Amino acid sequence: MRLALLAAAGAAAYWVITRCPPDPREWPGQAQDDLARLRSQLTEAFAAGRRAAAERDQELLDELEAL
Amino acid sequence: MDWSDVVRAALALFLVLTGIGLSYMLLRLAGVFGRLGTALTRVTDEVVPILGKAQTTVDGVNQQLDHVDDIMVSAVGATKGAEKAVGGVSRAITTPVRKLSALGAGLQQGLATFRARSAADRADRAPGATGTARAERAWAEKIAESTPPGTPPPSAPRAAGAAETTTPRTVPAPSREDTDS
Repeated sequence: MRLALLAAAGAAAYWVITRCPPDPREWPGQAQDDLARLRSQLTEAFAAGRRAAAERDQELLDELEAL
Repeated sequence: MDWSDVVRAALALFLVLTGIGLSYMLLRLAGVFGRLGTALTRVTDEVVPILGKAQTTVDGVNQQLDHVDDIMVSAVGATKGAEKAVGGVSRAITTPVRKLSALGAGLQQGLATFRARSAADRADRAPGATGTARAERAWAEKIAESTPPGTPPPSAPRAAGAAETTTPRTVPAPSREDTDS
């Protein structure tokens, strides 16, 4: 269990190190950019999902009414 | 005795025979009328009860028709109730399935959009990226992979988001220690 936790922590640290710029002073700006980008991606994905769900719902409703 | 007496005697005989014949015919006619009256009496005695029974039967038939009318009204009501029940059951069954299917389609499309947008951002942030053109190319490739044929592609990334993602990252300038060394 400890080994698994250690591996997970190491993987997380590696991921953070590879994503963060070398200069620690740029980390806040990098984090803000990442958060803004992630928010934009999630918003767009959510809107696309809602559109697809509405289209699928309408298609099924039309098929049921056609029966 | 002359011929006139003979004619009178013949006429008298004729009249007597005619009277006898008419009397016989009238007697027979009286018998016929008597039997006719008896027959009419019997018919009247037998038909009147039959008519009463027929009237009773018709009244019963009318009552049964009223009952049939009530039964038909009840059957129509039961049919409408069954139709409503079937519709309710159908809605109760199909609505969750429809919602689940729509949720699955929405999740699939949302994940595809998220992956495509992430790939576009990664392509834009990669070293040597040429900006918007590269992001749009990666976006188009991901959309082509994730979208089944025959469906319209989703909208392209927003201009503001594209502008955000295509802004070239500022590379930190080398420090003095690095340049000195």
